[in-house]
Amino acid sequence: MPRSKASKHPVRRSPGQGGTLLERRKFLQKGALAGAALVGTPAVAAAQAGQVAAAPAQSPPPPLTLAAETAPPADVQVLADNERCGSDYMVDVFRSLGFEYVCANPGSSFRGLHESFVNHGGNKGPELITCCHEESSVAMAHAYFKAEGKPLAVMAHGTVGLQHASMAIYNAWCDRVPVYVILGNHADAALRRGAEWYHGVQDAAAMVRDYTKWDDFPWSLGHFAESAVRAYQIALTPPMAPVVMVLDGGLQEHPVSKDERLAIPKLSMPVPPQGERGAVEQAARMLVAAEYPVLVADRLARTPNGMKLLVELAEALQAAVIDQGSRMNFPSRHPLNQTQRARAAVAEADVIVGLEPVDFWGTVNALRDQLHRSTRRVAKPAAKLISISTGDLYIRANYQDFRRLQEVDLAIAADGEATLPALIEAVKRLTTADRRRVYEERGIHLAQASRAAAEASRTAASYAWDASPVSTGRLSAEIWAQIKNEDWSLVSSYYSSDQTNWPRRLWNFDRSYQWLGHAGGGGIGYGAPASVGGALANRKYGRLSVAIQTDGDMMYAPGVLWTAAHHKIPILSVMNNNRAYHMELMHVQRMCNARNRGVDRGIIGSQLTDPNIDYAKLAQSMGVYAEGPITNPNDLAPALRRAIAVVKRGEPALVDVVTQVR
Amino acid sequence: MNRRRSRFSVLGSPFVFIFAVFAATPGVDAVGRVLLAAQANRVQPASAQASAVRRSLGEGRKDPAYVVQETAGANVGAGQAMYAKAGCEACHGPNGQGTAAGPRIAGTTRQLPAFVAYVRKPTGTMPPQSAQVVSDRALADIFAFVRSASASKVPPGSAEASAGRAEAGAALYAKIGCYQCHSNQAQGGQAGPRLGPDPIPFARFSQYVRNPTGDMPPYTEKVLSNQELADIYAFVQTRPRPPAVNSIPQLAQ
Repeated sequence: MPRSKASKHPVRRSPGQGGTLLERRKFLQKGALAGAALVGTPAVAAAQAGQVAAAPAQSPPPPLTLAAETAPPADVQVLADNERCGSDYMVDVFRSLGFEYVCANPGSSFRGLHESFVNHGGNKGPELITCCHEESSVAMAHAYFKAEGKPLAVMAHGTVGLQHASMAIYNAWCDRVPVYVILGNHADAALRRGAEWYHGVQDAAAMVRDYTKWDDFPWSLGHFAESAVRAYQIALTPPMAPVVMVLDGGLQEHPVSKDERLAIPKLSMPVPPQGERGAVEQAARMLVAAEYPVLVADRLARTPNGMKLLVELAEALQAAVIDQGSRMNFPSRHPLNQTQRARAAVAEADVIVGLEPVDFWGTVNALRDQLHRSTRRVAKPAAKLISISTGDLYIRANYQDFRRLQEVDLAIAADGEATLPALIEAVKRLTTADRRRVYEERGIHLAQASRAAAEASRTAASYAWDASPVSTGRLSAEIWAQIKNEDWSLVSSYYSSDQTNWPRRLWNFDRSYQWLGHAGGGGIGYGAPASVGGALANRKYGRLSVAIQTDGDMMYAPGVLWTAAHHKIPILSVMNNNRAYHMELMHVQRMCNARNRGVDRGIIGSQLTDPNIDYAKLAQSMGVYAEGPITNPNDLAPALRRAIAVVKRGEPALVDVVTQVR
Repeated sequence: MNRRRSRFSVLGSPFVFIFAVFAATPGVDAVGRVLLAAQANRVQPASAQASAVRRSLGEGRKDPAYVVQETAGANVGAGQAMYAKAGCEACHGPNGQGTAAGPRIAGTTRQLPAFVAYVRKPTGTMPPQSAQVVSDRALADIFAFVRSASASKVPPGSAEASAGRAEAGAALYAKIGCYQCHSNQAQGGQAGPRLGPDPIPFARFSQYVRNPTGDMPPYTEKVLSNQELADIYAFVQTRPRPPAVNSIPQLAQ
């Protein structure tokens, strides 16, 4: 929703004072563009401008207003032929960074940039994606990055837009995903329109500084260009994270002479750090000597090559792999994949390697959530622990997403994916024929265990097969039956561990884009926009994007359905509609139990019933093909087939399925 | 305080042996371990287990040496409380009448020393109970209770679940929120294992619901009576069996 209805109105100015202030702004741009030599001058200019504003009308004009005296009459408020606006240049810089899309809910504080994107930039590279909520803009960018490996830009108001966007930025921060946030702000209080006072802020990025990696509020266009490129480099250097560029409204809107030489800085992406050679050699020795090494990957795979490297390392060692699922790290049906029996694999291990672990402590320990919480170590006391993580390179204080400190035997502060080639080389070099025989026996044992786990998952899904509401196991099995011969991508995320996530148990994930990880910060409302963002990335490759969409999540910002319809983003969204916030319901129940008060009132405040929400109608109202609510599991397959036919035509489709809990 | 309590809740539980056996079971949390314990029960018929325990206890022998000795100062009431607290009922039933998991010990003709010796160092599947967990004095009280107990004194609802009513159980299962973790048909979900059909023995089921060793929230008798629990058990027992996995095309690999 646009924040200001008055955004088209020109700045109102009195003949004397207005002209002076206009020139002050112009001077600031020129001064800064001229480089460091004039850094001290703006203060002088401001002082001079102040003197002029206070001076009698007949006083001789100071030098800075001479340009205004010779300019076209004040009522001609269009760009002259020899001028361009600051935001055109900003768009040139953003285009040089290769953004494919910029997601935004429109707002007056970035109207100059908005106009430049669509007219100067031709609404291409980047193309504007119209979003109905800033949280949707950021979540779309979040998932898009994990599918595409490139960031999206997001535009928002520096105040109200950022306040809406902040939870989604926090999710991206916790997930170490770069999102390039561009905020509009009117710094110059003397020229603010009415609404711009609400949208004006001294330090816009302060609100999200604890969970962004870098921000700047450039003072000139030259300053802007350097910061814009620097922000991109910082955001994409592991550990990656969101960055914020605050762009002054005046800097965007005010004309500059086309004669101004405005260069675009060259983008040079830093190479992610590889582990120190000696430490990598030591890790390899420990792995080669281990009887039961376990590789635990979480945020490991930055690129499609990450999965290939992990497969190569695991096969070189015939080591167990646990894919904790923040990224698509390891094929779900690889015989060495022990994710479904992760706790047992950790308990057996004598060497455990955390590859970009999010929660290494929680991997080797367990916490019991009762009235009196208790913890115990799951791993053997003598098990050696190695971490390879960019988490050691960067940490912030306030928000606690860094998790509990895990004591390890070898901590390699480096990028996991960048370090794998050296580790693989060292492991292969150190492996003797004797060790290889041990590896092979181990591999046979692990293959048997993963086969048994897969069979157990299929059996588990068969229980309550015909039940209504539809079991979540059957929901996943029915979707799989329809998509398994397609080039599919699961663009949704469950808020659960990978041991209990039905698609991960039943489907054959073996490509990097088939799983896009989690929300990061556990902020609900991520799922719906993230799935549309993932589908946006998949669109140009012709992949069939599939989401299992939870109902509570959808209701945060369902307008993203309209965004999918408007921009023709093909996605099959299958509602896992259990008509409650079930995780929270379970927490309240736990409190009821702990306090011995009976749990039958625990549902109050967590259910989405009375009335039930009709998601098919909701989607249809926004131009999305939709069916449901489906309660008979036998109706599911035909409905999915019809919806997939729509998606294959390049449009979104939604199937509402009333399901059991989780 | 925190640590002491949780330590007691593990060590003082009859589930120590389940824990020990299944602690390393692949990818299974504490609730799942109980489920697996039930599966293990099916592998080894409960009657075979029970008879093995009886043999090791010497039951069935008519040796005059196995004559009960009165224990000076033993307290039947305290013994009954301790019997419950130490979790004996999980396998032996609330009144020592025996369950599928453990033999009848009510009205035992065994001598106290043999009773103590077996509890301290069992030869069957029973978990050992050390003197740190159950003192000699407490064990004497338990013995007095067990010897005086009659299997006919079974409290309502604690009998096998056949007494339960599946229909009432279905409503209770929903009302008290079992479905939230175990799903509507007790088939298991993201936060809890499958419960039925073929649930673990009722005594163990009851013991776990009252005093869970994992993350499951406990249900006391105040919020869920024994009869209600038996009803829920009946519901869980009567869940339909699934079709054969290989007959379901959607589950084909």
